[in-house]
Amino acid sequence: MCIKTENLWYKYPRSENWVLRDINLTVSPGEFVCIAGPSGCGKSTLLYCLNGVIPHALGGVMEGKVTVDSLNTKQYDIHELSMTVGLVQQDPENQFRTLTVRDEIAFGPENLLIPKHEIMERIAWSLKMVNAEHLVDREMRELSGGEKQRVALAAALSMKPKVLILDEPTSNIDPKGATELAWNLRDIRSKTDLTIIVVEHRLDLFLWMSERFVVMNEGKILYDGPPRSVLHHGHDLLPRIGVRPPQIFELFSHLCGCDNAKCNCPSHHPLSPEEGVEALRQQMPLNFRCVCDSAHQGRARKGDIVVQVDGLTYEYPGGFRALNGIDLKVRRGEFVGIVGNNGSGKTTFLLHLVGILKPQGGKVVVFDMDIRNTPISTIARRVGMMFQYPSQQLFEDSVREEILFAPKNFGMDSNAISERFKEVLRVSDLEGLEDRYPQSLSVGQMKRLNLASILIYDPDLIILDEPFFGQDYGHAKKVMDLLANLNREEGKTVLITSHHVVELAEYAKRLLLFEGGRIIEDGSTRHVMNSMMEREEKQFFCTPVCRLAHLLSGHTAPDAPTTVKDMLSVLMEEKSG
Amino acid sequence: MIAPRYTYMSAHSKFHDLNPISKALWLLCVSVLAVLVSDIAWLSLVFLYVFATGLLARLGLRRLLGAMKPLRPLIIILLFSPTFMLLPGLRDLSFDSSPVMLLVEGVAYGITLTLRFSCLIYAALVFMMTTKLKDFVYAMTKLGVPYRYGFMLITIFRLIPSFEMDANNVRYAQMARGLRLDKTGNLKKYVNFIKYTVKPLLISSLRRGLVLATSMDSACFGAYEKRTYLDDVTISRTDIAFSSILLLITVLIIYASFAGRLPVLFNFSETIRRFFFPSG
Repeated sequence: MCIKTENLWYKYPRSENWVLRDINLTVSPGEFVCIAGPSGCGKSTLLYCLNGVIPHALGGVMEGKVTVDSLNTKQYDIHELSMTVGLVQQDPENQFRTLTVRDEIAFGPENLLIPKHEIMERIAWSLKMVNAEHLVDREMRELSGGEKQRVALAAALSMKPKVLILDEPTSNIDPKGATELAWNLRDIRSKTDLTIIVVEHRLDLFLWMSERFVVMNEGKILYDGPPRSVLHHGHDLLPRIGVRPPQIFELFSHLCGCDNAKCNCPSHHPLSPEEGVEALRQQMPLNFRCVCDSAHQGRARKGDIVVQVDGLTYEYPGGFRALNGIDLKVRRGEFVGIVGNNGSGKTTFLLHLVGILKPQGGKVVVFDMDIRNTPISTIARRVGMMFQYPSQQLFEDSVREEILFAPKNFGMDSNAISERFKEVLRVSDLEGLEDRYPQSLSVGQMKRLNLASILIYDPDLIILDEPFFGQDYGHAKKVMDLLANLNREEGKTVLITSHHVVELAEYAKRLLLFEGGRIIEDGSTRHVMNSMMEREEKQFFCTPVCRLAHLLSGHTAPDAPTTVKDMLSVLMEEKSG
Repeated sequence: MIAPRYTYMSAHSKFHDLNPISKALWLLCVSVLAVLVSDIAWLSLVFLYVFATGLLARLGLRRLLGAMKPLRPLIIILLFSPTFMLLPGLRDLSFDSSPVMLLVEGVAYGITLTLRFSCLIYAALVFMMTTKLKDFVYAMTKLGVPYRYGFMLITIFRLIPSFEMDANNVRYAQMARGLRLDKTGNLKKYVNFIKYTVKPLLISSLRRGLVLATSMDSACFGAYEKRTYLDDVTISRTDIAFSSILLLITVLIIYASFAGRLPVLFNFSETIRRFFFPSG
């Protein structure tokens, strides 16, 4: 066996709670294992037990035994284990040790006293494995998030490990980078006998190439087996604990009826659009046309204009032109999604809507306020913005104080907000945590606290920058349902940037695609995603269901569905008609 | 991604080709001279020498001038604050208590401080823009400095942009929730502002540090006393000649300065005194 954990228990220093509870996991050489589970269930902790960071660097109490390639991790230190286990962490920014790609990949072998000529060979080999030979002379700061993760993967490979472990490697990179990373892993797997373990929330990307799927919850292994089998048996429980099956699997589960009753189907449901095409043609011999749904054609928008942007340009000191002529109108009550590669200008654009950045060219008017002449606090009173990193926007010593931070700054009457405070706590699922120290909350709770800190002052425009970052599906869904409700019931205008296109397709009615500081697509979410299907390099921004529909129709579906719900209705229509 | 202002700039120049230790020695010598010499004319010469080195290293006039842009407020403070500090009533000077001369002395002192500061900053700038940090660390390890300490330097430089990004994120989040930085007002508000900034920054820095430490451990960093270096940093004959001449000149100036034999090229205060009080 390559990896074996026996009765593994672990708790962090100064903690009373066991993070891992009786983990028994065996992985054979060459296996590709995908691990999923809600935030805080112990996935990353398990990975750290495999490469010796636990117990050697993080300490804590570890019981049981972990063996990797016959090495007992308690008896060998991290250095010795690192020659066997390579690690890629989730944040592409923080894990780098040097300043250039070449140095980064050479860093591990240099520490191992490998001769120079062999290090050169390893650099060339590992970059080739991740299709990144062209990056060899680049500086790390010049790379996109996706490129950085590929370099991190190459750096891990250059140590020639037997096991490669990846901790949520796509959580902070755009869909293109994430897809390319998944392809890299597929290629590595086909060319080497490496054992690969990936912890990931975005199952659409990795599950189709995995042999094993392990689901964890509250420190325990809940399911362990072939992906289709685990998804089939856990179809009821998985979404409830925050694990979302691949969208194509969801579609076929609905088609099959797995979700309604005890289903005896052989659980062969496909996991990717490519598999889905074959399955659908066999199950439902139909002439798929993807009937154009007029409801999704660029419907005329109504309501007052709340955001008007004309010719907006912005250049950072140092010469990076982040915005290059943005024109946009957003009306009251719209729910707008924004997609685009890292560095395409999304966040810079959003910072203008709160007045944090002032236009260098063009004009931004929000609620009839020209942001150039209006104090930020006046704009912020009506525009609530939640940023990407939850802990960087927590300032106070308790949840209660944190929620009241902005109202205090805005000089709001404390009596007036006391009722709203209770309501905000309730809808944010933070009741009972009022006196907790904000930085001690889980990532999901922190994100909900960030949102609660905005909702308390009842802004008319709510802006969220990467709300799914570091969150499992369950937590993300809670936030999105809350926003959808505010949008529907109270007419709040919502703008969201995200790399999670499946969720955007379900919630956002309008979608903007940013590229090079410009908006290159703007329309209904369905319309924009279909437009992107026409361009190969943009297909990463489409949902798997949309790709399936295009594959079925031979790319002749101009308005194919993007969500499971829409696809089901189209398929039913096809079947009956 | 924004290019940092003070990092290595690739160019083909003799100064670029020098060993990092030779360049570090140059930085040291120039800094010692800038601190030691207080005559405006000599300081001007040192400053011109440093600036000329930057130009000969092909860093470009625009880039050199632009690099000083963020430090302009500090330079203005340095230049003018002694002028007012030396006004009558604020400080008693024995050599001449007339207001005009006190003002002149203050201006002279301001110019000296500004030149000294500019020499130090530009020397550091020329060093950083012509030397790869990695090469400097490698060169230091050749001199016997343990590589673990050398890499601490690389780590610090590597984390500066991330820290800057975090600080911006925290500031933006504060602004978005109505914290008015321009209205900190009383001490309590000021203390709160520090608290609101330091706490999230500290926590995010600790998190970054933990990720980086895990990453370094996972790459066997520090496993052995020695490590392989992919690139060689060699000491050439040019390095030896450059360093020898540099050391010789510096030692001579230091000696002349301590021995009181450094000629006064231009006495600013005396010239002004003669201009205003020709009879005195």
